[in-house]
Amino acid sequence: MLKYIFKRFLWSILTLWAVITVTFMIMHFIPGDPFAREGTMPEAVYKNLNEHYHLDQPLFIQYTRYLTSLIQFDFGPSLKSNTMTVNDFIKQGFPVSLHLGTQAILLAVVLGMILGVVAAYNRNKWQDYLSMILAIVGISVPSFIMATFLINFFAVKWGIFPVATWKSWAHTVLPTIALSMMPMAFIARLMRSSMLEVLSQDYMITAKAKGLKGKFILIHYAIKNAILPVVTVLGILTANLITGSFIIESIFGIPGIGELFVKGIFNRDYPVILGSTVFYSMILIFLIFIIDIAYTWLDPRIKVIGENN
Amino acid sequence: MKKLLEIKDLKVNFHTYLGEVQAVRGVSFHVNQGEIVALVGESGCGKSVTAKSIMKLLPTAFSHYKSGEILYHSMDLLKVQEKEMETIRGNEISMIFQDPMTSLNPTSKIGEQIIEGLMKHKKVSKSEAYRKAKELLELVGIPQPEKRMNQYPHEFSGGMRQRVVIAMALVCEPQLIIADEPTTALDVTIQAQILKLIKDLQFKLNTSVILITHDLGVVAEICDRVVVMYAGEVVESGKVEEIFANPSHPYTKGLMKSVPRLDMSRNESLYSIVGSPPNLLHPPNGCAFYSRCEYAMKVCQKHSPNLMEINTTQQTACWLYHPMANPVEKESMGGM
Amino acid sequence: MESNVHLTKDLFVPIQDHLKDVEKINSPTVSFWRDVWRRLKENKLAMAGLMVTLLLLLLAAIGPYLNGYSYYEQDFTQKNLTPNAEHWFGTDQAGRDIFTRAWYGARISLFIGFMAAMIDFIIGIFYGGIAGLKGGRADNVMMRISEILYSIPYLLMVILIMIVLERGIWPIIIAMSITGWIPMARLVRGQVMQLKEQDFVQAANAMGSNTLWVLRKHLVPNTMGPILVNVTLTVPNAIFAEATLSFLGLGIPAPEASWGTMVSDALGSILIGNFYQLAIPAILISLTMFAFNVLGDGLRDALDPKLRK
Ligand SMILES: Nc1ncnc2c1ncn2[C@@H]1O[C@H](COP(=O)(O)OP(=O)(O)OP(=O)(O)O)[C@@H](O)[C@H]1O
Ligand SMILES: [Mg+2]
Repeated sequence: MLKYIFKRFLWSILTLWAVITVTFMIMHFIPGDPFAREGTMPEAVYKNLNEHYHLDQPLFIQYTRYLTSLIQFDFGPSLKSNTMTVNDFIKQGFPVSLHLGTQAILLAVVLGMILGVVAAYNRNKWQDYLSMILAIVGISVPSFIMATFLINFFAVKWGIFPVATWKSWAHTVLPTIALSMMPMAFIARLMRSSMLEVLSQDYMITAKAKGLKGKFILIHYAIKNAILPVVTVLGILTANLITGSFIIESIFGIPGIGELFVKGIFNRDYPVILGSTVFYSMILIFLIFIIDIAYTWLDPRIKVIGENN
Repeated sequence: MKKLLEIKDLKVNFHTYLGEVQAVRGVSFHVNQGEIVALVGESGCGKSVTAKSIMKLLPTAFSHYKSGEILYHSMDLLKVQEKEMETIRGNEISMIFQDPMTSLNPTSKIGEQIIEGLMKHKKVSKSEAYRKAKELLELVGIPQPEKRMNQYPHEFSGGMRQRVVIAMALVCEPQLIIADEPTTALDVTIQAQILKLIKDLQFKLNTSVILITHDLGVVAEICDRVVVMYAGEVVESGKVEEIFANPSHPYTKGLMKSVPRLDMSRNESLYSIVGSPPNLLHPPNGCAFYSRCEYAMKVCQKHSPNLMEINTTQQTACWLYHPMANPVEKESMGGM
Repeated sequence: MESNVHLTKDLFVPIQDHLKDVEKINSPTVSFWRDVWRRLKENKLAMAGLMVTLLLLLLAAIGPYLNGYSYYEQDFTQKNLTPNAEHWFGTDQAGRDIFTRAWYGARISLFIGFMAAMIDFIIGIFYGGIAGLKGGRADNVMMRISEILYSIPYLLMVILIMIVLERGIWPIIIAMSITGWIPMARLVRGQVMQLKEQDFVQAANAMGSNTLWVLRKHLVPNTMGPILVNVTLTVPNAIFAEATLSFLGLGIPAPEASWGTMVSDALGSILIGNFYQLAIPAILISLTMFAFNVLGDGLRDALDPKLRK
C-alpha cells in the first residue's frame, strides 16, 4: 500500500512538472514577447521582471529559473502592479476561493447523491422524473448563465441575497449555488445509473433474501457500492468546479483566484495567468492524488492490484 | 409426513414492453419436512421464478402474482405483509444462488455478511454472532475461519465463496433452504463436494431443501422427490425412483434419454429433444409440449392437460394417461 | 389448465406430421440499427432532443433571412427595443436585430460544435486506434502522454491557447481540439483492445487475416455506438466552451455574433432592466445543450446491449 502511494505521488509530481512546462511554453508562443514592454508598464515592474525571468537569456535558462523559483513557491512579480507579486495575489485570493469551492463541492456531492439515490430507488416514478429534470437542467445551463439568472432574480428583482462583494455568508449563497449546479447534476446522474447498476446485482437479492431491513440494505449494500464510481470522477468534477469558478468569481465580483485569473486575461498579465494556472494545477493534482488514495481505501478490490504492482 | 410448504396453482406474470410474459402458469407441488425436492426442467421454464416467488423476491415493479397460494406452515406467504416476510426470509426460509462470484457484497467482509442476518433475526450479541459464524465456516469446510472472516469476497475462490454462501444460508437454522443451481458456476470436482455438503448438512439439521438443477445425476444421488417443469408448468412429479424407473410424461422421458449413461455404446449419439419451448408471451392453448411431442394427439393441440394421478405418489400432466386415450399408445411409449 | 372441457374419443388420435415445422425460427431478427432506432423512438426525452436539434439546424439555416435585418447593421435610433412586430426578439444596445443575430449566432455556435466534434473524432480514432493496435510500449507511452495532457482541465487549456492565438472561429476550434480528442482516443483504444482479445478476431488472425482488415471489418460496426454517443456529447461541450471563451473576451470578435458573445455583450444590460437581451442567447445555449445531452443519453441507452431484450 505504501509503495502504491509513493508511486502515485511520483506520478503526480511528474504530471505537475509536465503541466508547468506546457503552460510555460504556451506563454512563450505568444506572438512577440509576452513580457515585452508595453506603454503602460511602470519602469520598476519592467526591471523586476527582467531580474526575475532574465528575459534577455535563452528560453531554456528562463525556464529553469522559473522552475527553481517555483520550487521555492515563488510565482514571480506581476506585470501590472509594482507593489504586489503573484504570491501576494494568491495569498489574498486563495482563502476566498477555497471557501467558495469547498461549499460548492459539498453542496454538489451531498445533494447530487441524495437526488441520485432517490431517483434510482423510485425508478420511473415522479421522484425519479423530478430529480432527473433537475439534473438535466443543471447540465444544460452553463454556470455563467445560471449565475446571471440568479443575480437577475434573487438579487436585482427580489433582493433576497446580496451580491457583488464577499462580506457575509449571505454573499456566498448565490455563487455557491451557481457553481455547484453542474457538478451536482453530474453526480446525480452518475449516482442514479450507478445505483441502478448496483440494484440489479445478485448480491442485492442475496441481501433481501437474508431478510435484512430495507434501510440497512440501502446503506450497507446499495450506497456503499454505488458510491465508488462517483469517487472516481470527483477529480474531474473538481477541475470542472475550478474552471467554473473563474467565471462565477468574476461575475459575482468575488476576490478569489478565479477573478485574478480572469483579470490577468483581460490585462494580458502573463505572469499572473501563468502563476494562477500553475497554482490551480497544483491544487488539482494534489486533490486527484488524495482521491486516488481514498479510492483504494474504499474499494477493497483495488488494494490487491495496488500491492501486486 | 408433514407438509412444510405447499404451492397451489401459482401463476406469475412479468410486464415487458412486448406484453405479459407468463413465466409461471399454474404450478403446484409440495415439500415435506426433512426432504430434498428437486426442481428440474430446461432453461427458461420458470424454476428460478418459482423459487423467488416463495421468498417473494421478484421485482414488484414489473412482476405480479396472478393467482395461487404458497402455504408455508399453512400460512399463505402471498398474503403476508412485507414486514413479516422480512422475519421469514433468511430466518425460516433461506436461499442459495447460482453464481457465488456475484452473490456476495464485494465491499463487505465475509464475517460481517454472515453475521448480519443472525443479528437481525436472533437478536444475539456481535461476539456471539461471530462465534457462531466461525463454527459455521468450519462446518462448511473453510480452513482458518477466524482469518477468513476478515477477508473480502474477492480473496476467495469460487468454491470457497459458495461455501460461504451456504454458511450464510444456514446461519439462522432455517426450516427450508432453496438452492437455485448452487453448483452450475463451479467446476466439476467442486460441484460434487458442495452437493455432498448440502446433503450432509440437510441430514444433520433435518431441514428441507428445494434443489434446482439441470443435472439429473445429482437428482438421482441426493434427492427424495422430483418435480419436472416445462414452460411454466409442472408436467410430472414423483419419487426419484419412480421418475427414473418409470418416467411417464414424454418430456421427462426425453430428459432421461438425454442424460449420458455409462452403458452407452461409443457410437450411440446423445438424444436431444427437437425444437424449442414455446414463447411464454403467447403460450399455446393446448399442451405446451405439443409441438415437440412424438406422441401428440389431436386433443393435445386444443386442450391443456391437468395433472393426473398415476399412483399415490406420482402425477403427470399428459393426455396419454386420460382414460379415453388408447392404451396401445401408452404401451408403445413404454417401449421406446 | 381447463377443467370442464368437452372431450370426445376422436380427439385422442395420434398425429404425426406436426414435428416438421418445429425448427423454424418464428421471431424475425431485427437488424441492430433498426432496433436502436425503435428504442430511441420510445424515449420521449431523446426524441424531444432530436426535434429541438433539427429545429435549431433549420433555423440556423434560414433564420438570418427571415425578417430582413442583417446581423451587423447598427441603428442607434433603435437601441434596446423590447421584442415587437418589427424586431421579433428586440434589439441590442447597438440597435442590432437580436432575432437575426441569434440565428446567425446559432450557425457559428453549431459550426464550432460540429467541427470540434469532428476533429476530435478524427484525431481520436487515429491516436486511439494506433495505440490500441500497437499495444505494449508504444501504447503505454501514448497513453501516458494523453494522460498528462488530460490532467490540465479542458477549459483551462482552451483558454490558455486562446490567449496565444488570434481571435476567430478557426482558432477557437483549434484550441478546443488540442486536448479535446483525448476522451475519444481513450474510448477507441479501449474498444480496440477489447476487440483484439475477442475470439473471432484471434481466430481471424490465426487464419492469416490482416489485423487492420479485421479491425476495419469488426471495429467499425462494434464501436460506432459508443463513438456516436461521445460525438453527440462533444457538441454541447464545445458550444459551452465557446460561450465561456466569448464571455472572457476571447471569443468571436464583433460584429460577428455567437451565442457566447451575445451573452457577454448583454451582461451589462441586466442591471438596466434589459433582461431579454441576455435571456434569448442564454435560453438558446441551454436549449442546445439540453437537446444534445438528452439525445446522447437516449442513444447510449438505445445502444446498450444490456438493455436489449
Ligand atoms: N425479470 C424478468 N422480466 C421478464 N421476464 C422474465 C424475468 N425473469 C424471468 N423472466 C422470464 O420467465 C421465464 C422463466 O425464467 P426462469 O429464470 O425462472 O427460468 P429458469 O427455469 O430458472 O431457467 P434457468 O435454468 O436458465 O435458470 C423465462 O422465460 C424468462 O424469460
Ligand atoms: Mg434459473
